[in-house]
Amino acid sequence: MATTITIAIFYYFFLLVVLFFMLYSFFNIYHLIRFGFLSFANVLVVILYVALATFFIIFTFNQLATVDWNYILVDLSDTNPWSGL
Amino acid sequence: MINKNSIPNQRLGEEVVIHLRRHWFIFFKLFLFFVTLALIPVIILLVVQSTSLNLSLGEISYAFLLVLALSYYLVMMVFAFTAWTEAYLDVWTLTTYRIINREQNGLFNRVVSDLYLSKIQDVTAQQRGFFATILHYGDVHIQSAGAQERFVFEQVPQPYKIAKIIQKLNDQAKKDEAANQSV
Repeated sequence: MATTITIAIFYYFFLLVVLFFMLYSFFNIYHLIRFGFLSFANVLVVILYVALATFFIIFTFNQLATVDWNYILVDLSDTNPWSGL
Repeated sequence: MINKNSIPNQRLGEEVVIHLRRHWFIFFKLFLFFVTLALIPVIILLVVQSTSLNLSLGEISYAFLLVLALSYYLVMMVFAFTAWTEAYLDVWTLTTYRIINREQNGLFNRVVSDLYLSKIQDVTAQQRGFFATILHYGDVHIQSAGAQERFVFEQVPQPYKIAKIIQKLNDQAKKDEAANQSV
């Protein structure tokens, strides 16, 4: 049984944020395509957002790759809950 | 995407007179708001650096702050896009027969309703506030004859001009209706 918690817990939190980001982005784009007018401004905004979002996601994962996620945040192996008894 | 000239349940001879959206300044205010939010972490960083505090971050605090900052920008980006979508998809269309109200109230709440011009009882235009007055934008309130809730064109450019156009179209619609009844 694993008795340590690594800082990868922050990474998993970030993955949840990315999931939220992608879901909301999808709903926004769906609405703009489904209900927006066929205009230059609307098409431009959708394309710009997709490009910007893709660039930013790639950038964030590049930044996160510089971190050693195996670093131990909490070490539970030394603590014995029954030691005081 | 919808063609600009397409009208839901179009009547014979019905044409689009004008599509209305919020004034550009409303979009600009949204833009400024999110730019300010984006600058907050940068300003905090600059302030902390200028106080010459020892910022030798450990692996844990670096990872935590990195995830926090990136999450902040991702969430802010998607909220900014949602704000744009909601404002952009609010469209009020004046046709030769009716007013079509298309409002996006949040991502999962879209309202489409219409009101025949002949049913309009009262049109009121309102410019309130400093920027609204100098940039000529405001609300147009439309009260219908029935029990139906009145329409509000929110923060549209030239509200007085729009009110006049609606009144003209209303007069024309009433004349046409009277002419049809007499035939």
